[in-house]
Order: sequence, then structure tokens, then C-alpha cells
Amino acid sequence: MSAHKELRRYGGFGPQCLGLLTRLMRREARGLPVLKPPGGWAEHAFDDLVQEFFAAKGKAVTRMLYAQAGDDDQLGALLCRSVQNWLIDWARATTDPGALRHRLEKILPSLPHFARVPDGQPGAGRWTLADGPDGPDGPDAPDGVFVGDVEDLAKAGRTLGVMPGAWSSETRRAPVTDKASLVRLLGRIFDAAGGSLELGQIVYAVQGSFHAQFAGEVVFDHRAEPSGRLAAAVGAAETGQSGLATQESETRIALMARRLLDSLGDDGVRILDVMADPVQVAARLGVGRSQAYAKRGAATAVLAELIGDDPDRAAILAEARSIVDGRAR
Amino acid sequence: MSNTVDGAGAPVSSGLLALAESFRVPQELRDAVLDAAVPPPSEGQLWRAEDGPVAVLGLLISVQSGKDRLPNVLFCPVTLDVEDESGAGVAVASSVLGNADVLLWPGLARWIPLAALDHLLDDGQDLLGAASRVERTAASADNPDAAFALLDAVDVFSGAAQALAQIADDMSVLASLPRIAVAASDTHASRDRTSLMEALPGSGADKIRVLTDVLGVSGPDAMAVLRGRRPLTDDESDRIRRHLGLGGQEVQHHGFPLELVAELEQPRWRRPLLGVAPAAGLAEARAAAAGGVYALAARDSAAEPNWAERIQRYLQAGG
Repeated sequence: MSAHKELRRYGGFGPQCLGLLTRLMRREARGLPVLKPPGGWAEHAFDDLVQEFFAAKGKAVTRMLYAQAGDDDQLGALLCRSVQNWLIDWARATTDPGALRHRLEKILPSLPHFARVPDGQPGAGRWTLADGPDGPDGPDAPDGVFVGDVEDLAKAGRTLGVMPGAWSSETRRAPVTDKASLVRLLGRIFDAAGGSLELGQIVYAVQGSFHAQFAGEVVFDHRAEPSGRLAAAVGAAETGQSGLATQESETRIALMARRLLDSLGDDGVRILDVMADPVQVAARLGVGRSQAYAKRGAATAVLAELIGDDPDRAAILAEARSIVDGRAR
Repeated sequence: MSNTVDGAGAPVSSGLLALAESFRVPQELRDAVLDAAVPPPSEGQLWRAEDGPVAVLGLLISVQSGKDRLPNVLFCPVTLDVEDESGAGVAVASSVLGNADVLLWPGLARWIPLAALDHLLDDGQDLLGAASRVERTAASADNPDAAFALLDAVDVFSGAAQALAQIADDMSVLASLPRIAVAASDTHASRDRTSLMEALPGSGADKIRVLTDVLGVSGPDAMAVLRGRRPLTDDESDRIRRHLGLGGQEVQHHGFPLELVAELEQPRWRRPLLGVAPAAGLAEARAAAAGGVYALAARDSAAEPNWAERIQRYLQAGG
């Protein structure tokens, strides 16, 4: 049976569609070098990506494909597009330069020290100091547009010596600098540039400013939260709070709990608090023992897939139960 | 892992299968997709449009037809799996699609041939309201360059930007869907066109000879071109124009009555046409039907033929 026929017959993904998804993910992920783990691609890394994609987008993608794909060719093209789009966002959120760029995009407009070059002027759309560069155009910035070597900007940034703070978790972001430090760092970079900068140049320079202290510490991990300390530095500056790690951790636990409940389905949710006892599972669902074992097995598989080795597994389960209790009330 | 394997023989995670089970589409969507009825398109309906490998979901913002033009619809793409951080998308409620994450993209709206519409999915009241709200934006956006304005508003490095760019390309494919030629006298652009039958000199055999020489096609193919069963490509039209020294005029075969072509473009004929010509593509099936129905009509003397009835008779006769 083809993937399209399977989708039409069952109204959802089965082995054929999931196999197609896995093959597409393997091909498309290899096309994004930034996602490549330090040790190279391993099969489990692709499986993790498929799991992440399907948990995040599976519901919407299933409906989209069911409504939109008229045959296997269209299904393949549409699913490929979804995978590509998700991988781009995933790379931005989970890799260090991507996350840093994403956060700078959000924070720069909120800082009065910096402004976009207006339309009609050289370098329109780039970022510059709000009160303009000091002195005449430098040799690297004719017409106020920086065209020099961005490594020079990173060197200038490193002279500030913005220092990291305490760090205890390998899988959580932590605040390592404050807003004032980030503004000073950006100011130093812009001063060195003597002209306007593309966002990509800013990202490179900020990243380079930290690299002396953070070299080798950013590890790609599909299962972990975005791990870049650089992104964390900017994230902390975004909020100006030192408790960011705690907030993000709580937010993540809440999100994972909701994702878990979505994935468990009605029966899985109903037995969440009695899964250890098949008798209670059978009673709760009103089914026989074999069915109870099957239901419990399905729910256990979902738990294993989603939070099996998650360090916050207990907290996520507690949050999920709390949500279920809240719904019941 | 379970024993379940995919089409390539690779094992499929039981956890993923369980997740997929929980993501099954609602019955309402299944009913809408499998419903064989194809009502006439009207504003505020959610349709699936397709041409070959391209398929797009979209809302009908406006339906346009007339005595001097083939029917077109202003079609506004709808997505379910694109996240919008730009504010350029418009959230819309479609109970059939599950309501959540359904976004309209007025900047990508284009006029496309009615013939591109394949299947009605939803005609809820909420959609009609959404169509009227975005009408002005969408109407002003109807040109290929408008998509760039939308894409400017979207973060160029996001996944959404790539998805929307691909949808903009898909809309261009739909907008340029091949159509059956209409008799020159039936169109508002008749001044710029000339009939192939009139332009070619000499007897029928002479016309066929010119076509085989200029186009490099066989005699039967030349006959099909002359009779309008096989449309001319732009390149072929250009070669004939240059051969005959016709200046800037577009050359086409004699064409069919506009009312016949407009009727054949109604979505309700799509599947029946493919039913009588399963090996052909839809464009070929439509062209064959136009020729067949027109030939049948030539034997009648009715002043205003009922084309829908004649298409029905053509289909009942097996094409």
C-alpha cells in the first residue's frame, strides 16, 4: 500500500507514511550542515529529529496532507516542504548561531542605542548606532557601510572580557551576562566597525567575542534544550533577569507536559496516575486484562519516546497530572 | 521498537505509531475529502486546487465570470503547518480543518482559472466572513510581485519564509494553468489573435502540409491541431506566426465557443472527464471533450446549445 492510500484509508500516518517521513528527514537534515552533530550523523540522531518533528507538527501535518495531497507525488512534496521548514526553525532554535541570531533579532529593536538604516540610504535595513558612528567614515566603512573583516569586530568585542557566570547544568540555558554587558559589547563592535552592520555580521562578532571563553563548550544535542551559552547570554539580556534558567526550565516542563498529554490520547491520559497497576488500568478504562496491558504498553511507549531519558521526567509527569486534575475539577 | 516495518522494510517505532494514532484526522475532514458532490464554487468556500504535482488549499475570495471571459477565482492560500511570527497571516476558523493553526495569506492571493479547483472542503459561515475581510487586501495583492512584499514582512531566515515562497511558486503554476482555446470572436482579446484555420492558406490538405512542415508533427497530429483537439504551445504559435508573416498577432486554432469552454472548466466535470480518459491528463481530457462535444453540437440546430447537457451526453457515450 502506498503512503497516500494508507493516509486516506486510516486517516492518519501508518508505517508507510512514517517510513517516508524518516527517509525525508534523513535526506533533508543532511542538507543542513549546521545540524551535523560533532561526531557525525548517527541513526538515533535522525530518529530523534523525526520524533521531535512529529510531536511538534504531526497533528497539523496529518490534517494538511489529508486535505491537500491528492496522490503520492503531492504527498511527498508537501511533507518534504514541512520537514524542510521545521528543520530550518529547529536549526535556528537549537544551534548556537541560530539561537543567537533569533534572539538578537528580537532584542535589537528594543534597544534605544541601535537603529535600522532607513530606506533610501546606503546600507538600508542594516543596523547602526542610533546616534551614528563617531568621526568620519573609516577605511572599512565607505558611505557608513561596514565592508571590512568581521573577525576584527570579534577581536574588538573580546577586549571587553564579558565573563560567564556560574554554570551547573549541561542541558539548560543559564544567564551568563546582563543587559548592560551586552549593550556594551554591541557598542564596542559597532565602534570598531565604524558603520552599519548586517545582522549576520553582528551575530558572528558577538559569537566571536565570547569564543575565547566558550570554545568547545557548545554541544549539539537533539534531546537537550538549546544549549548555547551565547544564546543564553543574550537571552538573559533580553529579560534583564538572573532567574532566566529557572523560568525557562519551568516553561519547558509545562510545554513538555502538554505535549505528553496530547500524545497520550484520551485513554493514556485517563490511566496516567495508575499505570503501575494493570488492575486499576482495566477498571479505569472498563476493559479486560489483555486490553489493559495493551493500553498501558502504548502509553508507556509514548512516555519512553517523549521523556524517557529526560532529567525532568518526574517534574513533567507531575505537571501533566496536575493539568489532568485541573481539567477534572 | 515493534515488528512493524515501513515500505522499505525498515522498522517503525511503536511510540511514533501510537503518536500517529492520536493524530488521526477528525471524521468531519474525512467526510469532506471523500464527499463525491462538487457544488458550484462561490465566495467564502475553502477549496483544494491542483495542477499536476502542485496542490494548494485556499479560500475563494471572489468568483469572476462573464460573457467575454473564462471564469476565474481570486484564490487565497491557506496553510495548516506554517507558523506566523510576522503578522502577515490571518487566522481563520475552519471546523473541517480542525480550527487550530489555519492561516490565510492574503499577500499570496492570485486570480486562477476556475478549472484549477478540484474539491470543496469547507463552506462554513466563518469562512465567508474571513473572505470578505481580506477581499481588499487580496485583490490588491494579485500580481506575482506582491508575493515579494509579503515575503519581505516575513523573517527571511525562518522556515515560514521558505514555505511561503514555495506556495507563491505554486500559485504561479495554478495561475498559468493551460486552457482550451476560445474562438477568437468570443474573447475580449480577439484583436490580437487570429484563427489558425483562417490564417493558413489553401485547402485543408494545404493547411495540414504547412503544419507538418513548420511544426514537424505527423499528419494526424496536424489534423488534431487544426481541429482544436490539441492546443498549440507558445513556441508553435510563434513559429507559425513567423512562417506566415503575421507580425505581432497570436495564432491559435479556430477555438471553441466560450460558453462550452467555461462549462468544461467547472470543477464538477473534473472527475467524470478523467473517468472517460483515465490515461490522459486533465488538460488533454478537457481538450478531447471540447472537440467531441463541439462535434456533437454541430449536428444540432439549437440556437443556444445547452453545453452542460451535451457534456453529459458526451460522458455517457464514454467520451
